[in-house]
Amino acid sequence: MRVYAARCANCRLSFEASLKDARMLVFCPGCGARQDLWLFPALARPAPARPDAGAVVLTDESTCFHHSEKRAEAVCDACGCFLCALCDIEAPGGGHYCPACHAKGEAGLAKVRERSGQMLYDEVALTMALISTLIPYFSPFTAPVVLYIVFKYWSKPLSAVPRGRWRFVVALLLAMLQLVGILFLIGLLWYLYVVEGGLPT
Amino acid sequence: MKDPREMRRLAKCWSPPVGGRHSLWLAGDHLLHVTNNGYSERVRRFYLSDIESMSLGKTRGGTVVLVVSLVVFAVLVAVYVFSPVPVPVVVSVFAWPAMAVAGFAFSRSLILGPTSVCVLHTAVQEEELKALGRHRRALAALHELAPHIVAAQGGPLQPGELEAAGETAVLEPGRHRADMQDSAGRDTPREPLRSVRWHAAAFGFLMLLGASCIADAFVSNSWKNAADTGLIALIVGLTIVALSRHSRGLTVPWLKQALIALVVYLGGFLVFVMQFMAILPYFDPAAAAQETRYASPVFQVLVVASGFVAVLLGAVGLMLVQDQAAWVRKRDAEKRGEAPLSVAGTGPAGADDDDTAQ
Repeated sequence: MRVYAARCANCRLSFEASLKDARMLVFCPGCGARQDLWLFPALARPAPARPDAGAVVLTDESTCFHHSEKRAEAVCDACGCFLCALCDIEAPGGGHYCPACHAKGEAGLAKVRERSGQMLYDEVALTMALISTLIPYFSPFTAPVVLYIVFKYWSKPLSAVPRGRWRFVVALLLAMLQLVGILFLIGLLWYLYVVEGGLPT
Repeated sequence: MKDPREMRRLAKCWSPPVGGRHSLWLAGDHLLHVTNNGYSERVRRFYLSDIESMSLGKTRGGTVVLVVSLVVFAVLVAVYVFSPVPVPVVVSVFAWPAMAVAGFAFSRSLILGPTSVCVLHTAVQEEELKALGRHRRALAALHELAPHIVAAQGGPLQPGELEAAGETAVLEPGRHRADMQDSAGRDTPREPLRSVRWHAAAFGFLMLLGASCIADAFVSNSWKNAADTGLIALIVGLTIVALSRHSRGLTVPWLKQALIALVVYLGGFLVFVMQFMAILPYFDPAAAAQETRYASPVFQVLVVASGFVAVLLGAVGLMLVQDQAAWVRKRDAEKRGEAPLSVAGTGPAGADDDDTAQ
């Protein structure tokens, strides 16, 4: 009988459950919390042959994406492929990459990492614009920076998943309003001191 | 086969305050789990054909938030209703925002329902899908996701297929025994804290709030302001530490993110300091020492008592966190096959970092 090493979500106790059905309800022996297990065919069937793979030697084990005869031991952080010990390249700062993803990051691992994580410039621009709206002392410094970020990254991909550009639009509007306000203040001061000759008493 | 580029969001979840926003996206042949911390995002990809199982269990976090926020809200309302004297403005400045936050947390927890933990297993990884952090939404997402996974793996499991697959255990029995008992044979903590540093910060904050509460009843307004300034500085420090740790391993180096956080939080802090400086000219230590805070002794006793309770709870919490951290260090050392450490000993760097959850 196959057993499944489950871990209770509530108390984190590890326990074993006999595999019977594709969906099982099990109860933690430690705290009694209910655990909903969804089992999928990959658990019981041999790993599917990859397009570039030959015969699978051990049919009940997952194999490396590139070497079908070797057992998978890690997952590529960039593309999600299973990797054997040979293919697994450990990054100096942590993380595992396949040779293909590593090669694509020839200028260093920064490029590879961009595929699994990236800066959200629209959120940065919006945060800066909102903060400088609430605390106007920062506006002369942040408004130009926000405009620079918006124009530089407007046409670049923002995220790995679909994402609208409304944050850029709002940040742009706020930054422009702040600049208009700053220019208005400068003009007012210039008028009062230069044209009128000083503040009215 | 669907277009692999076509994506649909299955679920999203927000982990306050800076835990990030998580979302789960279904594409043609894979799942994408996206963690967004406000400045950058991290993406984990899981191919549908690799997913062996998913487990979903309710947790008590949502219930705790529900009860705590309700209690806080009720206590603050009671202060306004039963206070024998008009509530001072300085109290209202803190009480009204606190009521708003507690009310929001209560409503949100009530609407979103109980919390849950969903773990995805492949042959070589075990990842928690934080986007499925609410039980109702997680169940709906799993019902929607399961047919796609089954289709990608060549059809549903036939009756008896699991039993006929062989005698070998999926994971060897006893593999996680080390989690259940320490080397001395003691029972391990039933509920290891998942984020030791965050809990330490929360309990520390609770203690400081209690101390601030007691100080509020005895010392002058100006001294209270000075204490609050220190409190805010501490919160800024804790936030920066938490953010910098949270962002480790992302595209942007942690230092850059910490600097962004520094700018954001330091901005608010500077404004606070400027306001504090503005009231300093009016500060007279001799007069402040004579200043009385509350006209009603009953109200003063209530404030002092709640302050002492907060300090006590915070201290007990910090002791528990210390115990948990020691246990985590010990367990990690045992997993690495090193000699067991003494509870009071210092573990290897990073052993007590963030998670007890594997």
